Amino acid sequence: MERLENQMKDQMKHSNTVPYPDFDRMWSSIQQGELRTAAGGELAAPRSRSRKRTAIAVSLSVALMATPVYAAVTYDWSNLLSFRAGIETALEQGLGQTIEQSVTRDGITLTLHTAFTDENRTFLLYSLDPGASGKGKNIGFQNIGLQDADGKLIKGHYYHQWNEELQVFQGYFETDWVLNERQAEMEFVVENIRFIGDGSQTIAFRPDHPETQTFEIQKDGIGTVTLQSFDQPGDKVLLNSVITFTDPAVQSNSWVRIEATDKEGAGIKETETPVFGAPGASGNYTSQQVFSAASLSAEGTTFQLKYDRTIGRADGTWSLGTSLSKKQLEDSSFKEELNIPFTEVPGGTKIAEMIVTPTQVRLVLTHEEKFTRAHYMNYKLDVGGKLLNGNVWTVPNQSNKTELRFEMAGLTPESLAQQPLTLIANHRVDEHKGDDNPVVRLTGISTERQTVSSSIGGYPVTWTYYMKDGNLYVQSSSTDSAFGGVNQTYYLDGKDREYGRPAILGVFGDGNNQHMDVYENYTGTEQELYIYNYTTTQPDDELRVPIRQGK
Amino acid sequence: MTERELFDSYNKEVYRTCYYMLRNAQDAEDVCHDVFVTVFRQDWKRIENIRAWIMRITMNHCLNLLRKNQTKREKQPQVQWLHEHKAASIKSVDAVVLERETSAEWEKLLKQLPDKLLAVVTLRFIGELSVAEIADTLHIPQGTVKSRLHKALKLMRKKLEQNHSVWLKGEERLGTS
Repeated sequence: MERLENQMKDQMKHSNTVPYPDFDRMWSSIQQGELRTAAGGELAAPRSRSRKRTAIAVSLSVALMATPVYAAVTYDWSNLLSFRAGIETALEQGLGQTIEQSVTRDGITLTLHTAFTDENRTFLLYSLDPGASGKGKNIGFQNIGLQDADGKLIKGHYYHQWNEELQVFQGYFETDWVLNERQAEMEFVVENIRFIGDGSQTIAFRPDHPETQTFEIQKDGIGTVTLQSFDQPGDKVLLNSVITFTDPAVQSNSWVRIEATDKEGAGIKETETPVFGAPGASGNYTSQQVFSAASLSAEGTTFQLKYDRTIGRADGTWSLGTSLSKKQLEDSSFKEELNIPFTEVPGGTKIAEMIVTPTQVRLVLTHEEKFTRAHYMNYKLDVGGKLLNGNVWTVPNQSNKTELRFEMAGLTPESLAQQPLTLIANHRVDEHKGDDNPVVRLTGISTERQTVSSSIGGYPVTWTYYMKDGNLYVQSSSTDSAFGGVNQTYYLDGKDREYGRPAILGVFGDGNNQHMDVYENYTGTEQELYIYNYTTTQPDDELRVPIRQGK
Repeated sequence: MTERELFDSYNKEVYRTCYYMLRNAQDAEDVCHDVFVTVFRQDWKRIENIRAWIMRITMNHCLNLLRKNQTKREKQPQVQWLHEHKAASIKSVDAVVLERETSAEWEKLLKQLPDKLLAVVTLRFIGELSVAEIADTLHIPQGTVKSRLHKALKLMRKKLEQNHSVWLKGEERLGTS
């Protein structure tokens, strides 16, 4: 068959019978960033729907009855659960508690499909059919949760995606609340639905002007936008935006961001992963986006403020009574005491115990020193050659405990119990405290950019400093990638420490060692600076801790 | 690598995969477009095996569209590939038949392969993925990849053989039209 195989390969890969499209034209269209088909793969975002606006009739007197769902529609939950692989595994094994109850109110139907009552979390799969009144690209809930017999609402978080084919939102609700008893009567409650569309405002931002620029929006709950641009190495520009809100609710659920478009109206993409909605100095909303300098300064580039806008509401309560039970997951769960010293992590750390349920594996770490964290960025659990991805979690109200949680992708507790287990940690990041000596002395401070070099812990660090809008900006970076960056600088005013405010959001272990602090209303011309701490990173450092032998 | 360079490196393979899987140029163009939009929405510079990753996204897009259009799609001509009526008597089909087949006919026959087999074949021959990578992409065991690959080749051989004999002898067509 080898010959046939070669011929087939040649045919499929090189034959000229496949009519290629105009790839240049396709490229221009790709840059718009819009999907053409609704059949997108697992990563595609939900498409917006064009629907006629219809008035939402609110009728409070309608008696709502929960009805069992008999429809033979099979929902595919795999896209939704791509970051909850353990839930997907349990679902595939039929370990979820099948509920399939629906309630319809004002033409909007909420269905609770399956519940997972795990040892440390409760997880519900729901769908919502917005019916004829649906509009916009997404929906949000004012409240969603589980209500107990006393009427107390247990909150958590929810996430859903639009299913184009079935015309419903498929979602999950997750909370770390768990049942105390084996079974309890609960109500799944959704309150006040808002329909979300795109909002956009043009802003006359001039990227070539170095000063801070503020724009009044005063619309859709947004007050002002303040933009500052900072030159970055490699011909890049950092746009720092601070947004104030007139409606506090808008702040938490609007995903406000700046969008730059070129003269043809195509979106200009950030060159680095942007950070949106970080809390700023006074609790406001700060975002950072890095663009190539050339693309921003090109003629015809325009700037818009984009956000999610409420375009309609359906007020009311959709509520489904159900009896939650631990039984399905509890039967195959187990705990094992380990007490393995984890000497590579400071603070007297031990891997104390392992808890295995059909949806996840948890390794509980105990630390003699409070607030200790394991110093690695990535964790995997090797289960007889199969790797489970994990993350560090803090344990609420227990400062001497952390957890490593791994989603059970394609494994059962029974099969895991037989396998050898090894914890693999890699990409080490260490924090080092600054000392009582200044790390750099800035001289002749003015609006002109100046640089000075110094050394921190043996690593070369370049400092750039200048005055802008009456504030002193101090930027630090190192050419040595093992240097993870300075976390914050300060100077001494007598005995008091005056800290700079970080003007670039630092992400722990992200491979970027640039840092920038701003000292507002600074008047001096010379300054000695100290650092609070700095990090060092070893991306290739890998640690393997055998947890136990196979059976 | 820039986005444009990535696009130029993989656009033909992505398009060919879509073309064979979806069996029409318009859908192939749309899905190829969407694959790159999807890729650029991700942090693709951090992906280690970018070829396998792109092929996986491509295949997922194709399978999703096929699934969606299943009801609309014309029923594919069913090939009676298990019809063993003369295989035993013909020796070295490869040698006799293959040279005579033109690309157009190959294509016609390839398009008749069932989706499951076609998925494995396109990932293997256009995407140049390993058996393990194909298994990973399609969520099937490696053994199944191998058997589907084998089945696809066997089926193509059978089709070529049938097609050939139809022309030569004017025999009754066996559903290959």
